Amino acid sequence: MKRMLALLLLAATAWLAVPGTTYARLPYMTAYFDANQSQWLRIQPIYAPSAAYAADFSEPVDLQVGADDKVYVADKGANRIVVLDDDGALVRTLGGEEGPSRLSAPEGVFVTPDGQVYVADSGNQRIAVFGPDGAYVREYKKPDSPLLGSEHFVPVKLVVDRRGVIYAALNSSYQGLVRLNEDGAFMGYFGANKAQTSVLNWLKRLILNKEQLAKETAALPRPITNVALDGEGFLYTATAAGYGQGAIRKLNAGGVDAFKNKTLEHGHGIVDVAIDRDGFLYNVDMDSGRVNLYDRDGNALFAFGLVDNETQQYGVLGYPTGIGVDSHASIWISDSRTKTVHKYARTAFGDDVLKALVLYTDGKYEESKPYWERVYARNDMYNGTFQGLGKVYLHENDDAKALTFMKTAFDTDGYSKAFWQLRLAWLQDHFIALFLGLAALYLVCRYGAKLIRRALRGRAPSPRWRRVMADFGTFGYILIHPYQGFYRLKEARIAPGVTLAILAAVLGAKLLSVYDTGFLFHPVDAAQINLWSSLGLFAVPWVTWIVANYLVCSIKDGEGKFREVFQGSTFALVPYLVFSVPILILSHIVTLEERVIVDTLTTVMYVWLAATFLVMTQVIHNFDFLETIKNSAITLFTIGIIWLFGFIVFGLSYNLYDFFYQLYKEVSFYR
Amino acid sequence: MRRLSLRVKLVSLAAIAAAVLALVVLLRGGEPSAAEALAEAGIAEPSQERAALYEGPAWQPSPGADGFALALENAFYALYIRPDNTQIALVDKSDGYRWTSNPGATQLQRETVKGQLLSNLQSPFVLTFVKTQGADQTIRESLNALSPKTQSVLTKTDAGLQVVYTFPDKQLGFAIQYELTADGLRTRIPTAGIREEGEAAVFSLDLLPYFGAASPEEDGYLFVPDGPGGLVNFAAKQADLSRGYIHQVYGMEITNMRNWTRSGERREDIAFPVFGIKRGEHAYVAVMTRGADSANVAAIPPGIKSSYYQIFSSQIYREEYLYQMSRLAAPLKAIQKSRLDTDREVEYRFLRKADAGYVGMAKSYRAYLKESGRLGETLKPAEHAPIYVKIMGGNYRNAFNRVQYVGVTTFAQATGIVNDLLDRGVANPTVVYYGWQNQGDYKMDKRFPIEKTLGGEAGARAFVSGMRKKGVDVVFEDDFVWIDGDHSSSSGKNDGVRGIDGTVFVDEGWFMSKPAKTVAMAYDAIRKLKDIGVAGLQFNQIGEMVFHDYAASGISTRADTIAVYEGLLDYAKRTLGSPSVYRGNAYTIGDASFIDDLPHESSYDFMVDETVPFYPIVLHGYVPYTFGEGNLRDDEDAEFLKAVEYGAAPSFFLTHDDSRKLKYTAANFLYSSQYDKWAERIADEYGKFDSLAPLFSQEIANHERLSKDRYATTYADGTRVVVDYGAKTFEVEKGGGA
Repeated sequence: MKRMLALLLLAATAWLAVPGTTYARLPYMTAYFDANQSQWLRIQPIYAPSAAYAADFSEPVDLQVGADDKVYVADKGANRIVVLDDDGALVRTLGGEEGPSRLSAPEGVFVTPDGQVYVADSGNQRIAVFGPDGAYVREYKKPDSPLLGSEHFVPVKLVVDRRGVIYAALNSSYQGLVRLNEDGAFMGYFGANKAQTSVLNWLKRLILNKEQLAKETAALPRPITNVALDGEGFLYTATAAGYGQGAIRKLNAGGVDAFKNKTLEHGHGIVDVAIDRDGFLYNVDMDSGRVNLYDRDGNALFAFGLVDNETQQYGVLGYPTGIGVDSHASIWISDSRTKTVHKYARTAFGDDVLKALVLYTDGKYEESKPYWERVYARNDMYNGTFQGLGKVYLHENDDAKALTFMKTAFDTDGYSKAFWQLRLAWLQDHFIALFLGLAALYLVCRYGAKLIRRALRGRAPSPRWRRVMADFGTFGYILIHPYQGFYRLKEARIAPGVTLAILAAVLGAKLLSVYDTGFLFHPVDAAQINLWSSLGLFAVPWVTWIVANYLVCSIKDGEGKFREVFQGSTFALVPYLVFSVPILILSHIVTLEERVIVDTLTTVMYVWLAATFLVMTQVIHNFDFLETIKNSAITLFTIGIIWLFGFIVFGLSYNLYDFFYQLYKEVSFYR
Repeated sequence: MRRLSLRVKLVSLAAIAAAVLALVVLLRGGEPSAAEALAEAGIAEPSQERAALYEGPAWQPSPGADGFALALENAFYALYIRPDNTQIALVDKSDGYRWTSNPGATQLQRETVKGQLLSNLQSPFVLTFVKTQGADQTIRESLNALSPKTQSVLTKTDAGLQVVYTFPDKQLGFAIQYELTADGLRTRIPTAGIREEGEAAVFSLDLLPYFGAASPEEDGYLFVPDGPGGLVNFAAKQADLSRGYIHQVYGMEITNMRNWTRSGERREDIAFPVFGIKRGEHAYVAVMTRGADSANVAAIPPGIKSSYYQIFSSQIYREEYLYQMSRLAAPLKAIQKSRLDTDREVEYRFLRKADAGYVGMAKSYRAYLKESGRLGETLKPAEHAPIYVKIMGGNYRNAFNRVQYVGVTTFAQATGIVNDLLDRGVANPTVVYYGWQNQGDYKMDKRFPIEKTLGGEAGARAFVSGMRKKGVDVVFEDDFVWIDGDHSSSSGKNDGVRGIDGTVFVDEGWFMSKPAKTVAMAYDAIRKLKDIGVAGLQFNQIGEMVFHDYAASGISTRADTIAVYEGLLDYAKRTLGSPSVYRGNAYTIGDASFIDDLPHESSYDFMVDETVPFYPIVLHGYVPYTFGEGNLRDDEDAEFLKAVEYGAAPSFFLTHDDSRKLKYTAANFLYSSQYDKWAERIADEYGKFDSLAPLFSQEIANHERLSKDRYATTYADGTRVVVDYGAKTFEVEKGGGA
């Protein structure tokens, strides 16, 4: 098997790679984000490197693509703005040798749709403006405002909205963007990040007094790394660190984040963000070393490219500083390490996928069909295709096909819709049969038992059988009459066979619910279910309950013997057995809209179980009500302690085992 | 109770011992030991013969006015040497063109570099050394012919000229031998001549680093072995170049963690040990004829070491590596202790006029390969174009508490696919079947019995014999190098390749088996597959990766690995018929029946601005080769046209079921392989390739770029294939005959 292929994907994500590879093709891997599994899986290239333009850059630190597809690059080292056309040819440079047009270490550039170029002229502590012809127009110095205080006015990145309001990020300022109106007057801060709150900080604030708090380093908000603006006037801020939390924020004019401080995949080392005309977001991220694509809601779609400080290859970035997208959806990235601007062009496959996704998000399922079909012809594995085509089929009322596609994509929402349609059709076709069937079932239940009893009346069962039957009777009786039922149980000595049979039935019900719950309520791949942990999570609490309950109650003068506690706890499982069957059946019948039925039943079942266990404790130990509550609480606490102890013992012994195992491996295998 | 007699005890003991012995033999599953397998396959223990130093009195020539003295001469070339600084000059007698090892004095006046770099410019070698004592053992320093106190002794014999260099300060020494051949100049660094008598140790040696170095104004290019062949045009302006092109032939040492710490350079490994330079009407192609596996090809643009374009071989004698003192501490750098003890030989072959270009270089390399018997016979003409149909049986995935084999094409289904292809007019297929091993590649050392989900051994037999009746060869694919140590019973300790630090190299639980173990596993598989009737084996890794094995008993070098691999391919050829490999590193081309995924794309280097079909020109007509599979192309049209332009055979990677089933297996690179989706397209594409069938057995005579998007490949009989990437078409212009 071509194992290297598998290795490589690992490599791309883990920042380690086998040197020299079999399948170079593009010098990087492309991956898509599989939201179901929360992992990146490989896919054909969405973007391919198209060129790298040197243009005698000295230190390109920011990049902006204008509405006319000209590329504006802030060259900090050469004190100028370089304008390239779509083929990378030099159009002009901005910034003169002398006078007011002279730039000093410009770090940011923004072009308005009518071609005005705003430059964050960091070294001169101003914002310089150039006209569409490249001539110097005006400048904005530090606005006169007491609010700005003694802070240095070092703009590094900026955008300008339709009304001419400038939003500038100042050098490592945590207060957000400085907002200046057209005349250069200060209009306040905008879009500051939230201060990092942690449990520790919260604790400190609770405990420490004012003076102590003052000595602590303040939890300041992270400074904004970069800004971008989309066609609708939303402002996007990029913020590095924080493991992707709020890495891209989508701010409206009021400064409200439409992404709600969402955690972005591959956002920890975000350098810059760009938005294309379809609303896709692009970021280049130093931490994962990838260029990433997101949908309009910031959900990760694709990742490609690579960051390598020693790069000598097209498509591999040395130290990316800015990203832009032109009208052909080509990506431009300025790279200060290689002193170049990289250009990536969309592949035919990438074009199909992204077009399909746009039409899909816009709800134009009909139009998206040819694109999805082309994608499907080239890729069987990408989940989006199944979701997209599923929607198309749903739209075309091809529900059966939609159902399988949605199921393949693990899209419960779409599945539910397709299922609703199919169920409706089925009901319409089989209404009479269903009605008759239900009626027949009712009759069988109503009169069947009587008939059986009448048939059995002739031969009297042996006393042993009668006792067994009585035990099972008690089991059922407990469901409705727990007090009487447990009193009956307390006096009786239940045959072990009966107890075991009940436990086996409960286990069977649990197994059924693990493997045979309807897809909508348990959308997982059956082969990947870890049976031991599923069963363990069910059985261990029950077992520890018995032990803890017996221990606690025998100290607290409870009457129950261990056998009685065990019997009682077994019989107390009756609500589970009784409820899980209808829940299981319903999970195959209801859609997501009606899931409240299943959820309610499940809740009722658990409440009932709790109640039964309480009654069991009260009756078996002969407590009064308050005692029962108190001792049950102590039992729960004891369970916690037992588990904690178990974890510690297990953890330590595992560590010890692992130590020796690793030692053994080290010695025996590698040396 | 009566006590057992001694005799009974002894007999029963013997019986138990015999039973245990029988059990052990049975449980070993019949795989022979490595030594047995090597012997039975007829593969000799690799032993590298070493060139001797020339013996004789020192030769003290009297130089002419230019400082050079005639040293060697044959009918075609004359070699001159300057006794004072040992620079050489080679005169091509056909037109008097002079190749020099260094720029001349007048050229040097323009040079802006100073110090060590300037003296390197005037030396026929640059020796880099490290210290083996004291602190800073990783610091590298260099020596050259102009270093103070350097002694050089010339010896002239019938065979050639030898220069022995000694650096008394560092107690280092080595020798270079020059020999003239009918095609040019052979240079050699005999390992017998290397002397390390003090604290200094040889790290690397750049041989003739400025031989033919060209200034940027000249017309010409450097030829580098990137992908199928790459050109560095002197005229082109390249993006940031801060390192040049320095890459090891056949790829870097995989066991060296130092090579891993880059953030993941993905590139085409060098598959053939060749480099060259073209200057106007003249060119040379340099073939690294010995020790190539331990050499870097270095192509340096102006502005890094000098103002020249230079290309040379940098011979590796030691590597810097990282070793881990403990799990917690960061790894430390160190230099390998013992030297790679192999001869290095580079043959410069000179070309002129029409031959002075990459096509001429390829032809010259092909001529070298044929002369030295490294390239087989020409192929027999084929009535129909060959097509390689790869079929994925399936692979394993981890499921709860078990290993689940995900089958996607059973043997019966594979029969159906191939029959359907034949019905559609796909006339000359070879089938490569993947994933047939028990549980796929879960246990890489326990491949039998053949996976029962696919039909087991009976299914395989039926499939293979059914195909044979239709004249279709079935080749099974396998990897005898990587073993998943977590699942298999063989231990890395005994069978794994060791890195420089002496530990077994393990990556994510997988280790690489020693070449002898590879042979043992392959021998066993070949024996069993031959019985089934399989026509060949496609060897993964053999044609694409080599390594040193730093065993405690001494280094088995890459050359040794190559020797064993060559033996294995030869054995497979003798027993099964058609062994095939991926990538086709130069040592495999003599035995491989076809090469899958021959390098056909560049590594996207800033520096390499044109990709040319050097390797295809060498191989076409001798070994069939394929590029990427037709259904897994990134760019459908461009890759199809490239296969046509470079004379590759088509291939497709197919499954019967949806390839989606393989999503969570190691075979998840099969994005779309379901046969029904592709059947029509395969037939269609095969039709196009079939129009090129008459060219199958012919050499490529010429290749040229007609315009930005149009390329022409001319074959021996004069047939021209013109590919137009703009219009996405190709034309065949019939030639007049060979």
